[in-house]
Amino acid sequence: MNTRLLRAAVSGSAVVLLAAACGPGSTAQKAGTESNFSTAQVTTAPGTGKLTDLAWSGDYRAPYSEDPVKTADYPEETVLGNVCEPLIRVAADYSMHPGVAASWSQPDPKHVVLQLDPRARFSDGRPVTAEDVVYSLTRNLDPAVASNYADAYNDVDTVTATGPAQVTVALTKPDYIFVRNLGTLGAAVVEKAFAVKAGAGFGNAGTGVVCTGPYTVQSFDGTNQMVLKRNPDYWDPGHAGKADTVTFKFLADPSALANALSSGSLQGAFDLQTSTIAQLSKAAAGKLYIGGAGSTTQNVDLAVSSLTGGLADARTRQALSMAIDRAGIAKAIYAGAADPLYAVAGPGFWLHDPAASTYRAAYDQLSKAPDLAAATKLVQQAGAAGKQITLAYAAGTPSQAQLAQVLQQTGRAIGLDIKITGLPDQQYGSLFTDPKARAAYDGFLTINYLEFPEAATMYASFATASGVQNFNGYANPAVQAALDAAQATDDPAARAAQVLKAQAVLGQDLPWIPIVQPRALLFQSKAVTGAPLTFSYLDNSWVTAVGAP
Amino acid sequence: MGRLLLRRLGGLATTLLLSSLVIFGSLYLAPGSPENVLFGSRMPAAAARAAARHRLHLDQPLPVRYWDWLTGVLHGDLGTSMVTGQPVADRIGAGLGTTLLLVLLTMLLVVVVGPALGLAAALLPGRVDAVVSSLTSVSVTVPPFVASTLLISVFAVRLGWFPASGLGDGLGGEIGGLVLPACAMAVLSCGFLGRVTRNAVREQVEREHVQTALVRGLPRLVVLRSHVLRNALAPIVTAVGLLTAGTFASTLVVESAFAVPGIGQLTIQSVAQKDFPVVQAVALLLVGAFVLCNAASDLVQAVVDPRLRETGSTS
Repeated sequence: MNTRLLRAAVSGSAVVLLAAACGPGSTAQKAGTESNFSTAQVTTAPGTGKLTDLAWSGDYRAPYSEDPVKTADYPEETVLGNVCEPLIRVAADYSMHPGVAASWSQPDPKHVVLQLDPRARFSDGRPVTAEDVVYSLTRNLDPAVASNYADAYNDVDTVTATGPAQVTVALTKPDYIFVRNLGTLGAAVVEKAFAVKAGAGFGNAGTGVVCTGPYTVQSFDGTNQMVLKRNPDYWDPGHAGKADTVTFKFLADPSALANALSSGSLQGAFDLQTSTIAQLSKAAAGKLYIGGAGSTTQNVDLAVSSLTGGLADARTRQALSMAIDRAGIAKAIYAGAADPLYAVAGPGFWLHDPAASTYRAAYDQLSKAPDLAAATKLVQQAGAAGKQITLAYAAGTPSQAQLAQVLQQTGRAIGLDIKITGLPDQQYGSLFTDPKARAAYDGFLTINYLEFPEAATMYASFATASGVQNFNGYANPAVQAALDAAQATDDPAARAAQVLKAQAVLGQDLPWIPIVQPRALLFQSKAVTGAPLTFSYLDNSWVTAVGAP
Repeated sequence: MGRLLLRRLGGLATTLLLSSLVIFGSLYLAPGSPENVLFGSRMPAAAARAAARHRLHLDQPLPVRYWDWLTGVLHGDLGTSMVTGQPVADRIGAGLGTTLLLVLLTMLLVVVVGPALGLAAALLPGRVDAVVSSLTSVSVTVPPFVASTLLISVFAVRLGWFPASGLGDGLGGEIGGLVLPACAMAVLSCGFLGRVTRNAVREQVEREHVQTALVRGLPRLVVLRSHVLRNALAPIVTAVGLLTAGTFASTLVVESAFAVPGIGQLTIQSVAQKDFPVVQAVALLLVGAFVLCNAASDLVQAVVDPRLRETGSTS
């Protein structure tokens, strides 16, 4: 049985942050992994002409629900933003632009005030009211809804309508980063009347949703394909779609996807597996775009899940981190379509930041070749030689299995006895949600991503008290203070300084050990153009940019 | 004959009932729970989890759930998918026709090509037999997923005769898209059936009564039809029955390789998600197909061989 068929039915972790088990495939191909666009280029050539139908990959499985907040994983985040638009639109360079929220401001660090666009209408023609927006945002706070974006609302105190077209979000602590979450599906506006009436059935394929996006769901069979139809009465003609219909197909098998793309039956795909590089780089039907270092926010890490077992001593974690041959892993396991990662929030989180040079300078300091001798010495100092460390990985993801083996060998080379356990996808997924499930392991492999590039949010997710991915109970007052200060400032340079303060400590404490950062891999047919080259497609109505050349 | 049919139908019902119980039970015992899929990457509040479990009837004991499901099915209601909330019949109905068409095409290829190869080998000893035998020896070692890769790279990617992925529009497009997947599954089955046919026919040809008939000067075609083929048919029909049933299972792999929107993807996903009603429905479809194929092959045998009708024994 082809193991890729059983790719994680799990979206790994949460917030806006997910450890989706989406590992690149196994076949290491050496050719064709040179990056072919610069990180400064954020989109393909703009699409101008109309299309009757656009056929795109909806990623590895069909969405579980059309409800924008139910599940945060690649399929939902690729498709649903086109139907349920977030309040704020995010451009290909991650900059924020008016959407249903015509403007937003932060009069003080603890309040975000949104002014709604009076033109905004739902797909059934009703106007968007402040009440709808309050309802949509508040769903993230309702335990019964169990929003996958709830963690982004940890610091939200109240959401209130402060005028007929004005909504104010009150925060419990100074937070200038929160507003970025208004550009994710957690802030997609749903029609209150419809959602309340639909109850638990809201978002089910039979019931559907009523949102404000440029497309509506025409048909969805729950398994193989979802067809979107352009909303003819979309409230913002300037942002209307160019394709009459958009057909998303959900192919689990990477080679079937590569065939579909090279034969033209699909016109594009984001988030491709490295096993498709060899075939797609030769495909005449279109172009395979291979990004450079930092072209996505994806990061592959070893999440330490217990600070009491074999990895309890920070020196053991440092030794392991010091010994990992990151460049070798990027080349051999990811076929060169990945780069070594020396800090969990690597270049993908700050390349487009105004303070990029500050981040870069700090990051370059961290980049070091593996040092087995020093690592062995550290292991001995920690008294960890021969102690057993148990690591888990997703057995259904070939790259994770290979990576786990490499870590095991690395451990052996420096005197650590690492035991690796491959888990079926469902069980692997429960590592992210169930403390009992992870109790048996000292750590596990994860592929994380964030919809927007913000290093402070990435770090906060696993290194602060409220972090949803803080699996090991890590607490360091210096890190907590620095990350709180980072979100309390709106000045990029000041924020960078705080993030780097936290990053320096985390590099020593290593609650997570960074390994590699995958490069963007996406394909676009010659017949269409306009797809974004960055991760900005997640949660956004990106389809409107795609048209005939 | 009527009794045989009744017995078979009774057998089908019993098999379906027993396997539904086994599938339901094993899915229940396997780790994980469908509501985890619904909550995605979040650890839900205890109350929210309990509410979801209640809504999906997961909080009821196994026998109650099974009974509810069974009575539903007997009333023609296959239930609702726990993950997408769609009626199970809709989820399955979307791809079932395609999968059935794929099996039909495959078996058409198999019953035409397989016996033709076997007959040629049996009746033309020497070079033809040698060539056919080596051909069938190779083809029985080619599993569908290997054949898929090969066929895609030659006929879809290089020659472009058939789509590499998915189906075209209309019945014509659908059949066009199913030709390669059908071939991928037929390769192994053709080889198998070819060998079964060859051996069965060869055995009959060497029989005393056949040789006598030939020596007495009866026309070769008549001898072939009424003495050789008729008697050789039994193992061939049995093999076709088994191969058809096996083809249903192979569609899971081939549909995914060719991105055919049948029920393969649905089966694999719903098992991983523990979507009980969907798994039950799909698995019982497979079991039903298996039992029906075997029953059909027995009935055909009974038609061909009067002895089986008299004793009423088919096993």
